[in-house]
Parts: sequence; C-alpha cells; structure tokens
Amino acid sequence: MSAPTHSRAAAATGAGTAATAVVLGEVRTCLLQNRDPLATPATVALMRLTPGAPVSHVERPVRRVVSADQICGIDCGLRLARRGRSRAVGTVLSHAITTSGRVLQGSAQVTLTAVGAAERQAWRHYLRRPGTAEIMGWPHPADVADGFLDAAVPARGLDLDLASISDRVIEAVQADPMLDHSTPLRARTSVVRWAAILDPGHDDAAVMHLTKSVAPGLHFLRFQGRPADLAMLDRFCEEFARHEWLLNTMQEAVLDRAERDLARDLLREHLDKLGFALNQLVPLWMPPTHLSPQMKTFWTALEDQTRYSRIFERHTTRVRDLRDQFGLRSRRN
Amino acid sequence: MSDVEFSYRELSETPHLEQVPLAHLSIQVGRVRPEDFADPGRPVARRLEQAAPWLEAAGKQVRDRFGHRARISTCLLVDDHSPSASALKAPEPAAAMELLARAADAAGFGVDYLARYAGCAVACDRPRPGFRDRHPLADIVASLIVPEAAVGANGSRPPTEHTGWLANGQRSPDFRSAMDDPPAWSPPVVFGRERHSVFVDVELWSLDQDSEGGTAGGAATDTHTHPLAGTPSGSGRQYSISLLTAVWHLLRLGLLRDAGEAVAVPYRFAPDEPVPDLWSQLPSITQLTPDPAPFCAYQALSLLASRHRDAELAAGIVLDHVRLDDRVLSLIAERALAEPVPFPLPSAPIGRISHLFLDDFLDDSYVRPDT
Repeated sequence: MSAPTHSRAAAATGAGTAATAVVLGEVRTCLLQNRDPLATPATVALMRLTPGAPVSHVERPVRRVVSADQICGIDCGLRLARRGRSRAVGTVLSHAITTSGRVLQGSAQVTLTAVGAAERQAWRHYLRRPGTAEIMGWPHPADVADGFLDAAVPARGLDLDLASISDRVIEAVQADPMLDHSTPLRARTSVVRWAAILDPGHDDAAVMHLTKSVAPGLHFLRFQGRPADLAMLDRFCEEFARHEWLLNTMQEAVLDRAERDLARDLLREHLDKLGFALNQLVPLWMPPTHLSPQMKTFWTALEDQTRYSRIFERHTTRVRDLRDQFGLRSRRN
Repeated sequence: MSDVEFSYRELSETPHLEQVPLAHLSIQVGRVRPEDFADPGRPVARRLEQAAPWLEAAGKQVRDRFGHRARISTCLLVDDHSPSASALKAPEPAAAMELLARAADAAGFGVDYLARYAGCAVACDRPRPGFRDRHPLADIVASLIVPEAAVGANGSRPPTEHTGWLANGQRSPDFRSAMDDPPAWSPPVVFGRERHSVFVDVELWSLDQDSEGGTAGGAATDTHTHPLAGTPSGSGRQYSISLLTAVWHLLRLGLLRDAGEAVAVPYRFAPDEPVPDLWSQLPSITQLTPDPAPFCAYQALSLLASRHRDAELAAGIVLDHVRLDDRVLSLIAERALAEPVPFPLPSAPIGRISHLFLDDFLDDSYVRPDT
C-alpha cells in the first residue's frame, strides 16, 4: 500500500543482500477509455484501486498519477533458457499509471532471489518482502532472465504470467464506472517485457539491450547492473513504453490510416482523429531525461540510435499538415 | 561554468502519512456486549475484577523494562456489531459509561477507552458521524489481505479473494464435481508446517442478502456472525467478527490509515456535551479518563474469556495474510528505537500481540443435572 518506487527498490536491495537478483517485469500501455482526458481529482480517484490506498501524483512535466501497488501471490514454474524449468514462490506487485489523464499503463514486476530451500514456507515468510519471489534451487541468473524474454514462446501457459497480471490492472481501471468507455481512437496496446540481472558486485557500466520483436507492439529490454539501478530501470521501462506507444499510435492509428484515405479522398473521417492526436497525444511526448543522470544517459543513447524524438516530430508535422490540407479542401468546397 | 546543485520534487508524489501517538502497551481488559451493562453491572464488574491482577502483572513487567514513565493504556471492547435478541435490554451509552467507571474503580484501575466493534467496521472520530467522517476500515483491511497462492498459481487468474473465505493453506480438492469415479480424499496442505497441520478456513464476510444461512462448513472457526442485521459496510458485505478482530488489533497497534490519514482517533466528550442515546452514534473509540496514555501502542495485550479464542485464532490468520504499508511499519519500528529505552519491535504485527484467556465463569456455569 506504499508508494511504488520506495517499496520496489527496497524489495530488490533487501533481497539481493549478497546474491544476484533477477527482476522480471512487464508494462502494457493503452488509451484510457474516456472521451475527454481526466482532470487531476478524477484521475486520483480512478487510481485508488483499493479503499484507503494512497495515490502518488506529480504535475510536471506531465501529469503522472500512480496507484498503490497491487499484490498477487504466485507459486509456479519459471522457464529457464538452456536448461529446463524452475519453481518460484512469492508475490508480484503491479500498479496502474495514468499520464495526463489520457494514457493508461499497467506495470507488473517481481524480484526473484535464489534460495536453497526445497520446500515452500509459511505464507507470512513471503509477505515479509512483497514483490519478491524465491526460486527453489540455484538456476543461473542469466538463464532466468533469458528464459523470460525468450520471444519464441508465448508468455501465457503454466509459467509465470506477468502479462495477465499487468493486464488485470488495466482492466480494473477501464471497468471503472467513472469512465464513459468511449474510444476516441482505436489504438493497439503495446507491451514492454523486461528482465534485469542485478548483481551487487557488478563493477562495469550498466548494460541495456532493447529489442523490437517481430510481433507488433512488443519490445524486450534486458538490463544488467547493480541493485540500486532498479528504481531508475522500472521507471525507464514505463517511460519507454509510453513513448513507444505514442510513436506507434501516431504512426499506425493516425497517420497510416489517414494517408491511405487521403488518396481515396476520405480524409473527412479522420479529422477528429487528427485533431485528437494534435491536442491530446502530442503534448504527452516528454522524455524523462530530468529524472537522473543515468536515465538521461540511457535515453540519449536510445535517441542516438532510434531518433525517436525526431520521428515523433516529423509525425506531428505530418498530422498537422493533413489536418490543414483538409481544412483547405473543405473551405474550397 | 560553476557547479550547481538543483532538485525539484512534488510533495504529492509521496503521499502524506499521519503519525499517531503510541503507548508502550495497550491492554484490552475484556470484550462485553452492550446488554451486559444492564444486568446491574455484574458481568462487566466481574470481568474487570477478573482482569485486575493480570493488569497489575503486565504493568509491572512493562515498567521493569521501560521505567516508571512507561505508557500503558487500558480499553474495553463492546461488541455492538452482531446484536442478539437481548440487545434491546442494553442501557444507553451514557449509563453504561457511568457504570463502567464505577466498576473500574471497584476493581482498582481505570478503563481509559471504550471501543466498539461496529466502529472497527466503519470508523468514525466523532459522535453522530456524517458520511464524510466515516472510514471503511473493514473494507480497507479486507483489501490488504493477500490470499496464499495455490500451487500452480502463475498470475493468469485473479486470486480467489472474492469468496469471502481465507485459509492458512491449500484446501482439500473439491471432489463433488467428479461424477462417476470420485478420486480419493486428499488432505488440505498447510505450508511451512511442523509434521502435522492445523488447517483453518476463516469466513471474512457474507453478503447481506444471504446472511441467513450462517456458517455451514465444519472447518468454520467463526460462528459469531449473527444473522441479525449488524454493521453495514460500503461494499454490502456483512463482516465477520474474525475480520473485525483483526481490524481491532491493527488499529490498536497504530497500523491503519485511510489514504495516509489516521483513523478512529479517540474522542473525549466535553463535561457538558450530551452522549448520544444510540451505541451506533458513538465514535469508534471514546476516551473515558482525563489524561490517559495513548490508545495505540507498540504492543497489545488482550485479556479475554476463553470463548473468544476462536475469533482470536481466526484474527491471527487474517493478520498473517495482510500486507501493511511499509512506511507505517518502518516509521513505528524507528520510533521504538528512538524511545528513551529503545527496543526492537517484532516485524510481524502478530508478534506484537499477547493474549491471556481467562475462564468463562459467566456463560458456562455448571448446572447439576436433575436426577
């Protein structure tokens, strides 16, 4: 029930006292099903997923409201890369995030630590460190991380399913009667699945690998660093997920469809969507470089290779251009 | 270019958390029903008499450890949540409070606070509470419960918290559904046990419409929920005494907040202020003595009749399955370490609660069978 970043960081640092911990996470991003963006009080009420739970929010540079952590018990298999399976028992934390009362994210994560014990303990043992699950046996951390990120196998099945957990947070929010459940734009939910190997003895620079999957709207992020990096990392994943969703939505759900219909002279149907994109999506582009020097370093490196901001700018220009073209035509008629 | 340091933060990012004053020990001297005050005070007076020597012993222990300035408060819990037919005989709260003060005097100690069970379901800090003064404590605690993961639970399906039952392990498989060839019975599983299990299944709430049925299953530990209308909650649930007892202990340990706000803060009636005629119009906690130690405490002791053992066991199971605010837990642990006589607190709330079950002279008196 506490502020998310605080307890998560504690879970990872507390857990990884001496040994290496593996943190697995998944962030899903979609559009909040409401005609208009929500104001701050409504968003705070919406993010109070359980009675009495505190809600965290900041106004600048974009309004970001975060629910308290939800918790879910697990006792299930873990897929390992290269050498079979393992079993993890503990709890997964998840929370919902709304940005500017418009974009909704569900984020789930679990810190895995190895224990020698072969038997499951009493439940209070696992509740002592919420968001942590213990792996029975001693699998290699890289095998746990890579097993989770293995794109060849679908996430659902008998093994740990963070997809469903992060999805449930989103469903819980979208089902709220406070929303009018209208969709200004049909946009795909995008997914960032991430794994971090956090080693207290990791002396080299932190390493991040970001991979765009062949499946649409799915990215994998693999990180290697120290336990203290986790607070930066889970925020990075959420921020990356939001920006990737924005870029993708701008391109697929707005531009591509409008361009296609431009040729067929059907642009009129897109006018609302073009306006929606300009008024409500464009202001959400706000790279989180202010958060920490490390965040800035990674974000700059990401920009260097992908030119995300440049592409988004170009999309914005094109959207404005299309809207103006339509405006001109309709005036001419 | 000169080096500068700059930081920007918004206070709403880390939600506000209200602190509560804490005593060293909170002693619950008993649990009575409102109608117990009717019977010229005997049940209540006997209960207090019975508690007196234990109270003294507990006080001595605390003062030996923390010195003469150790803070100890006493409270009496009134069960107005599950009214019985005899509840109509209950005197008005003002009369009951007077009687209680006399009985406590006779027993040789003061009862500092009067608490209501119904005030644990929905808390209020003042008499005749309006809608905005109410905090749905039972709903809050129910939402803090993390049911044990079933073997194979991988997150695909939501936890089964909606059934209103909480077990301390994995239930026996349900084999009624196997039509033709019922599989052999297999036992429930309690994890982290000794050689043998004590499996307990606790009913946390029933829904208002089917509160007629009572508790069917043999494993039910809570038979206290009375079918008569009790305290309604916002969620339409009729909460069981087991859950409310867990709320009661968490409240006494100062661990509950509603969106960061302290709840059920004790209320003291001014000398000329009228006390409401209805028990339900009282605040959750009424302060009775002029200058007592705080109601909440680092540690709690409950002196109870042995018939309340089941509810306390069930509450313990609930406490073993709640996830509390990390910030509240660590703040209180730090305050214990900053006391004049510092001491480490057990991390789990259940480790901060002691019980003493006393004989039940009132309810089970031996009657010689007629020959």
